[in-house]
Amino acid sequence: MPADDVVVEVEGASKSFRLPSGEHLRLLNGVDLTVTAGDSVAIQGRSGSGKSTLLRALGLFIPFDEGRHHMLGVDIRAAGDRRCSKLRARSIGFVFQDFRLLPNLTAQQNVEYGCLLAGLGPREGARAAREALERVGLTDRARSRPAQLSGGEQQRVSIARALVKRPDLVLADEPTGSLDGETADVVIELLLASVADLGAALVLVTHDDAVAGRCGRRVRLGGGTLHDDEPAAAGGG
Amino acid sequence: MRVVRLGLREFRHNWRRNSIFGLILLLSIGVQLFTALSAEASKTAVERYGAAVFGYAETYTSGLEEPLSVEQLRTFNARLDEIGRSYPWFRPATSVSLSARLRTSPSTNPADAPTLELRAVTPAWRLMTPAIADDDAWRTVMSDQRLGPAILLESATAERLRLTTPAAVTVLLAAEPAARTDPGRTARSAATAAPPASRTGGGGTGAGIALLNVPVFGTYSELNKAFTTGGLVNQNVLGLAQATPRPVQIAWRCEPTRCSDTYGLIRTAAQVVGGRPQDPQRVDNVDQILPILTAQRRDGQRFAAIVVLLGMLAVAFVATAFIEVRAPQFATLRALGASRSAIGAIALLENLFTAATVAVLAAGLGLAAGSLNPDLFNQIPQVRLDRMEVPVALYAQTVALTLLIGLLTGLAPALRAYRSVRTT
Repeated sequence: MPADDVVVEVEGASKSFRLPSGEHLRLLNGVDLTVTAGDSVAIQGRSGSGKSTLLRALGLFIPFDEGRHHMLGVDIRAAGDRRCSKLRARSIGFVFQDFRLLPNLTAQQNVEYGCLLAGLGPREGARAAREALERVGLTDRARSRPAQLSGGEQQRVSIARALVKRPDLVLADEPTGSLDGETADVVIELLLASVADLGAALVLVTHDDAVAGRCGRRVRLGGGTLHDDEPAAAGGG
Repeated sequence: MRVVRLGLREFRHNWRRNSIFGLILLLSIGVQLFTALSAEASKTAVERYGAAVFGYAETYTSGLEEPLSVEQLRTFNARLDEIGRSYPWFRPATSVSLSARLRTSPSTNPADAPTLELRAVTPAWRLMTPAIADDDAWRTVMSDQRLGPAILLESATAERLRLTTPAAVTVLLAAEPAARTDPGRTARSAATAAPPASRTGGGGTGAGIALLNVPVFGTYSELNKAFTTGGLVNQNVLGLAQATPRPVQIAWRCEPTRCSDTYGLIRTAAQVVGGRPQDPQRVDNVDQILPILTAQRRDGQRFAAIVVLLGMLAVAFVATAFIEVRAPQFATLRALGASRSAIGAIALLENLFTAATVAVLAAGLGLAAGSLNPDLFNQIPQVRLDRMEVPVALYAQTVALTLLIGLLTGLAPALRAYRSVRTT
């Protein structure tokens, strides 16, 4: 995929929620964001600023109320749940703070699950899962269940699951939030390198300036809109 | 296809949880299947071995043209008993219809006591009546704990007499009890006599006879009005009942190949007492018992329906509760690309796969049990069922019912799963 290919394009997007009191809370108000293949974007902001909401919208879980939202040329606001799910299955990989591995499956099976939903056959999926686990250095833990893995290992499995289907966009929500500093370094290095290898785009939400600093671009969410920060010193993508 | 594969995968990976409501489903379907198989096996037993249910194929009834006196009836019964011992394939019995009055309390004026039509039978009578052996009410009466005479009333009679619960009463057996019985003595006896007792009011023809503390069982619809007693007491009652000559009904059974001369045996016994038997009527055993089996089957189906309904509610409740627990897992599936409808379908399919497993298991257990011991489901104690064709339609019906339950009970969890990922 050429580096300047637009993966996500958001213009003037807004999102409101109705509070139990009946009032409307406008979390996002005129968000503009364009992410191209090979980009790595760190989104920062205070708690409650709407970072996770933006990520959920980019992950096609919830639609924006207003504005333009395209992904890989598809008008997301006009697409139904099935189309969005298909895009999510094939073109978006997720890495969560709490890993969200299925507890009753082994590492290998967790990664395979991503393949299955992406439309790969069982045999093809198993092979891809093995390769993905090899890339994150967990070949020997393939048969372990999440409870038998350390936090760092679980996040590596999560990264393998996100990348096994070779997505165009990887969304990471505080990927190092549950890890100690040393493990966090290893994991973020692995994530950035793997995404870069794939030529995919990465959108990452973090509170950690050090993690944000390793991304190619930093944006700050405040007052419902995104503002560009200064370019990071060390780029990851 | 992909959703089916995912559903299968989820079913496999969540087998511990699924086995819990699978077990509930298996229990309720098991009850349904057992009830249906029992009805089928009992029907097969009766149809195939109807002739053998009581050892004989042919049943006849007849009566004597002239009423018999007490002595004549005793002699007749004794003669029939003797013939029965000489010919093992011949089983005769007699019964006498009686008129009585029922005193429900000592203070009741005997003349005002409600009238009652009873039937006194010899012990052999009940062995020849297929309906009795399978009835719980009869078993209660015949239990070792209950000695002496007892009365079973049909529903309408019990209602008329307002005896819908078990009670102890005084039975006045006489044409004119008010004139023949000493009310004061009866009341005193009724208050003090612990065991069932009987006495004659004056003896001889037309004398009043009071049977004290006779238990009454109401709301009995089959073979009502039978005056059921233990052997000796029954003979006694039979004798006492014949204070005035009454018509006697005779019934007998015989093996089909040897039935030709059984009427001759009855005639021989009747000749001893100077009685003339009327022409015999053939009674079909199977025809008698099949309606009872049908009624039992209907009752069984009602019971099974209640069990299945309760099972369904439990399964739906447990399955929905599991969906709540699994909300984070469904959120992960959603992140991996499962659509909301796919997640609902996965939850539904899991239920269906569990139901399918239960159906196969229940049918397998039923088939295995039936092939190992065909008599296991037979509820006719007099017959041993040594072989039974596989009731394919019944198994198919059970499998279809189980799948339907799986589908219906899966709707609520599926909807819950669908909603749980609405805004994930």
